[in-house]
Amino acid sequence: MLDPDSGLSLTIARIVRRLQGSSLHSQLERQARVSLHKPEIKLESLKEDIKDFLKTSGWEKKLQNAVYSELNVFPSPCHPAAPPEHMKEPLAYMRKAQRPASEQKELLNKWNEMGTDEPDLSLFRPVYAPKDFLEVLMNLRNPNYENGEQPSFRNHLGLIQVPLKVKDIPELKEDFSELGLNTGQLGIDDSAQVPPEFFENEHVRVGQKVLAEQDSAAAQQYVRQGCPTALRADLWALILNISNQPEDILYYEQLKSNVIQYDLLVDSLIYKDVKLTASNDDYYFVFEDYLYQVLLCFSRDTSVLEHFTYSSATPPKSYIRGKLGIEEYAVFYPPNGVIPFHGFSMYVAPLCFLYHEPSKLYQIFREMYVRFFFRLHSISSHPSGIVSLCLLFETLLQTHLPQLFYHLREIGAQPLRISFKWMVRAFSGYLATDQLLLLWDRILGYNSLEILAVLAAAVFAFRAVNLMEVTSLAAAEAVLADLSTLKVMPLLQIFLFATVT
Amino acid sequence: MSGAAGPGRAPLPCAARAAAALQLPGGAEAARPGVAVIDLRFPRGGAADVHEIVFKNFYTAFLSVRVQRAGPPGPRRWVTCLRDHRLMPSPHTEEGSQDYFSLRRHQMLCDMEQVTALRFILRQPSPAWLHFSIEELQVFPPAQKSPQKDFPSWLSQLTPPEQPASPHGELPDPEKVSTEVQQMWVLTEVIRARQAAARIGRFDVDGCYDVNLLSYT
Repeated sequence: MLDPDSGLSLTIARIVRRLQGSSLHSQLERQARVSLHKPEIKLESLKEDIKDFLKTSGWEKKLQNAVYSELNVFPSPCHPAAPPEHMKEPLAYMRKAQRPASEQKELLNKWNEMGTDEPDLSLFRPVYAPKDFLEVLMNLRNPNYENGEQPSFRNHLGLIQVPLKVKDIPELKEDFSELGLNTGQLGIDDSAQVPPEFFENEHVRVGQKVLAEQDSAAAQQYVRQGCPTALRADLWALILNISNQPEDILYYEQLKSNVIQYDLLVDSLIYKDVKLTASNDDYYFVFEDYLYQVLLCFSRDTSVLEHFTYSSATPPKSYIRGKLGIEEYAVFYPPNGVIPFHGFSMYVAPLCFLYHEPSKLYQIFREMYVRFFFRLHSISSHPSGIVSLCLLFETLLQTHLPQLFYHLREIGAQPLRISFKWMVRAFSGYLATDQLLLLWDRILGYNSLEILAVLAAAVFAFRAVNLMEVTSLAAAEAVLADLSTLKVMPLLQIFLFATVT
Repeated sequence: MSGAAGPGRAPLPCAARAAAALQLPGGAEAARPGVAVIDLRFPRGGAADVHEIVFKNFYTAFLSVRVQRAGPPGPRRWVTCLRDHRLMPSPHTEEGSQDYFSLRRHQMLCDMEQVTALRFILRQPSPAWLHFSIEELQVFPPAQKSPQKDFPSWLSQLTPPEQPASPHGELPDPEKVSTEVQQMWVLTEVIRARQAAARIGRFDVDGCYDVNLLSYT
């Protein structure tokens, strides 16, 4: 491990390098140059005066937000001896379990099958569905781990057999302390029976102040208790450091023109996915056009490739025919390196309620993807990765509802089989939209996806009585089929803070 | 096998014996004792100052290091310089199991001058793991002061001021040209030093994403 000093200087060097070429840097320079005309800037104390000017005019805040955003997104620097793939994923057997080879072969088979003239959508199968992904995760094994034949403490009773470190309830209580019983929450303390003077009015006032200050870190802390609906769009943009500058709008327009001019095979996958999922959903079918606009541009956006530096996955590469292996003829296919799976459009759909301008909606979605959603469909040992979330869910259920877990296992209904699809989609399409947005508030606030696993366990705890009476997987799925009436925050509070352990 | 060395640092050449598991006398067959030892000696019985030890962990939970130092002749004693350093915070789980570690001089309990041999005692109390060891072991001496960089030779060569016969006046004034060239050089140096990280290009298609052109095999 690095000792604190060299770790800090490495982090500082990396952030400086990343911010140096950005548009924020040139804007700061321009502002500093403009400020030279002001009377209060004196030549003798030039540096301090300019620094003070930048502080009062709000530019220092923007720089702080940018630095904070970099710290949130990129992992802490590794040991200098570690090769780059170690930084993406330290465990060797997880690196080897990546999907790209099988995905590419599957796409190739489809290319050979279909005609190239017009995309007959019936010939397209989605590349993979969450069920297939769960099969891959179930078969992950550490070759150095003793998975003996005899049942022992090493064989996990659930589906995931990888011994990752997951938190238990005391640790989760500490991490999610703002969700405690003594703290006000939106989602609980803003219901009709509670007079708004107790919590809601004050919370909204604090939110407006945070927005006025334009401070990302304060916004992230604020959002942990929930976001008022009126302020949510701006607060999320502040946390994700999206400012919708003219160059961002221009970038989006360029992507749009690329969509109009050029055709990509992945477009058909996107069309099919939107038609199958979002268009059939009662809440989201109105946003079908927005979804196409965002997703078609997303698949052409090469800046998404940057997130592969800290993701454990690698983007699939393809070569011009006949030039296999020659790097100049290699392209990433699709251009953003992300192959959409069945249900991918549900990541975008809830955001359509918040943002109506396509370019801002696009940027928010892109930033949410490269910060959070990519972890839900790639194999890694990160604590917010899907493998850890599954193991956390199973461990929580086993520890706190052992009878239910045993019963479900006995009837052949492993709990993860039911909750996996919830977690992979971050509950989008399963919860009511207002509840979903409250949940995503907490994902942004805590900068981690662990709350998805906790919510999944809480749902099982809530329906435990019914689940104890079922006798088959289909019946268990029927009990848990409809989550649209659930209220997210009370469930989380009860499970974390009010259950007798 | 080599990691990235810092500037001016090369790992010391040394010979490491493979990890030997602890065995009870009476030589029973493979019970897994959870303790292994790696011995490291410098070639030809030499001694060196040790400043940093870098290695990659492979499922070892605790590490102790003992050194043998060159000293007065007689039986050499082993001195413990690191006791039960925790590599894996939770030995049953994966955290820290394949990470890279650095042990520096200031973490050591004793002097590390004129070391002749190092002994790494690895412990893994959890029975969950089949093998444990440390890999890519490298030992670094204290860093030398970096030598003064040489000035580029052309800077130190002062050309004598020549007075060429002045041409008709069609050629520009050499003084002006040289100052302008100097300014341009400064600009290029500044631009080269500040490579912009921002993306200015968009993705270029020019037919290269056409399905018929691409192949995987």
